[in-house]
Amino acid sequence: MKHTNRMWYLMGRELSGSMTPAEKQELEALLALEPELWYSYELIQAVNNMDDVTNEFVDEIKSLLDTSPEPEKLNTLLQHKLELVPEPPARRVSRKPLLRYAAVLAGIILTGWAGIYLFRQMTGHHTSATAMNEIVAPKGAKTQITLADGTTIWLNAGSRLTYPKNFSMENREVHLTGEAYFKVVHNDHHSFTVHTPEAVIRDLGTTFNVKAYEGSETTETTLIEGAVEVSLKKDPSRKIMIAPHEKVTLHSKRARTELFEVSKIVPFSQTKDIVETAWVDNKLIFRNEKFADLAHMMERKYNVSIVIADEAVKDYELTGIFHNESIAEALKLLQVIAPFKYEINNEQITIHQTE
Amino acid sequence: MLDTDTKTYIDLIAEKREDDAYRFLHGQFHATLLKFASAYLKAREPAEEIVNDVLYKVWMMKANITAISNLRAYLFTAVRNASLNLLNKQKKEKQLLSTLTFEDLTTEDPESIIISMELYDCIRNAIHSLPPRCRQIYEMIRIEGLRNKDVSEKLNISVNTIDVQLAIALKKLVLAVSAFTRKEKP
Repeated sequence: MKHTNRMWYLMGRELSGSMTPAEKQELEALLALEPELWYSYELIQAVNNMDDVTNEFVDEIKSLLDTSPEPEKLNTLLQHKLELVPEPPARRVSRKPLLRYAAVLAGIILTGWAGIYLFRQMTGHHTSATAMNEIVAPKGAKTQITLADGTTIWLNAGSRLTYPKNFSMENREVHLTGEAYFKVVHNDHHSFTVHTPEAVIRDLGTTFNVKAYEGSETTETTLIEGAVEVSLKKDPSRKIMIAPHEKVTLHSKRARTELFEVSKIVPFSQTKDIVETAWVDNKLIFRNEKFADLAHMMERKYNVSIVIADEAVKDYELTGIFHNESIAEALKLLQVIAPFKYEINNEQITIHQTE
Repeated sequence: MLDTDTKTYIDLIAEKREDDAYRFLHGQFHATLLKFASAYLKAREPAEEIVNDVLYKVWMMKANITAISNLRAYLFTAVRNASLNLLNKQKKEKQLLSTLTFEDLTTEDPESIIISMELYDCIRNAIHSLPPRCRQIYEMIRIEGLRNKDVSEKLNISVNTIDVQLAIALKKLVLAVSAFTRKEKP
C-alpha cells in the first residue's frame, strides 16, 4: 500500500519534531484510514515515556484498579450523565410559576387598552393554560433542559425561557428572550413553536438556534437540520421557510420592505465550528465583529459589565475564538490583535484607547 | 517519568479541581479521540457516544486515575476496545460472523493492555532488531529527544536520510505492535 509508506515517513517527521502543519493534517487523514496502525503508533509513543517499568509498579497499579467502581455502578452513573452538560457549568436554574391572569389583571388596572392588548397576546393560542414555568440562565452560566416531549434546549447565559406548566406533545409552545439552541423531537401532528418578542418560529422537526436578546434590533434563526418557518409576530401572514445551514435575520426596527434577510452558514473548515451555535460548546466565536458588539457577548458569557470609554475602540473589527479562557485571559488575547488598555474593578471592566 | 498531559491531569485531580480536570480532559482529547473512534465506526454518532462515555468514566475514577502511567494511551485503548466491541456487536446482529472477530474484547480495563510487560518487551525487541544505524537514529530522536536537524549534524548525514531511516524504524515498530495487539486478543 503506497499510502502507508507515506504514513511511516510522516510519523518519523512528527517524532523528530520537524512536521509542518500541512503534513500533520495529512498524517491525521492517513491514520483515520488505518485505525489499528494509529493505535499501535500511540502505544509506541506512550511506552517510550516509561522506560523502566518494574513488576512491582505494575502490581501496585493493578491493585489500585481493583478499587475502582464496579461496572454496574458505572452504568447507573452513566444513566445520569445526560443531565451533565459537557463542561460542568455553574447551574443556577430558577423555576417559578407565573400566574397569567394575575399579570393580565395588573395590566388592566394600569391602563385599560394596554390590558386588553396583553390579554390578547397572552391568551391568543391556548386559553386553558394558566401557569407558566420559567427557566433562567443567569449571566455567566448557560443551562440545559429536557422538556416533557423529549426536546432538548440549551439556554445561553442571560436568557429566559417560559413554557406552560401543562407542556406536552400536544401543546408545544415556548417563549424565549435571549438565545437558545433547540433539538426538537419531531412529531408529524404537533409542531413545536418558539415565540420571541418579534417573531414566531415554527419547527417541522429539527435542530436550530434562536437569538433574540432584549434590546437587540434583530431576531436571528439559524437552522442546522430539518426545516423551520419564521413568521412576524405582528403579521403572521408574512413568513419565510429556510433550509439547513441557512440563517434568517429579522430586522424589527428597519423601515424596509425586505424584513427577512437570509444568509448561508459557513462552518470553519478545520473545526467544523459554526459561529451561531458554538456557544453550546462554550465557545465564543466572532468574525469581523465590532468591539462594541463583542463586549455585549462577553458581558453575557462572563457576567461582567464592560464599558468602552473611547468611540474609536468601539469600532474595531475583531475576529477570534474564546473557549476556556477567563475574562482576563480573553482580554489579553484581544490585546494581541487590537491596541487597547483595560482595567478590571470587581465585575466592572473599563476599556481605553492606548495613547 | 510522566508525560505533561498525564501530569497536568493528575495534579488537577489531586487539587480537587474536578471541573477543571474535566475541562482539560475534554479540551485535550475529545477531538482526537472522536476522529479515532470515527475511523473504526465510520459514523459520527456512535463515535461521539463512545468518546463521551470513556471521558466520563475516566473522570469518574477521580483519584484512582493516578494509577495510570499514560493518560493518552489509556484513553486510546479504552476507545479502541469500546469501538471494536460495538463493531463486533453490530456484526453479530447482522449474523455475519466473519473470521475476524474480536470476541475477547469485553474487558473494560485498558490498563491491563497498556502496561503489560509483554507489550513493553514487544516494543523493546522490535527496537533491538532494527538495523544498527536505524536504531541509533531512532533512539537519538526518541530517548534523547533530538530533532532531525540535530541528528543530521551529529552524525554528519543528510536530514533526508534521517527521515527515511525513521520511516523504516516506524514501519517495523508499528507493525510489530499491531501484530502484538491483534494476537493478544484472539
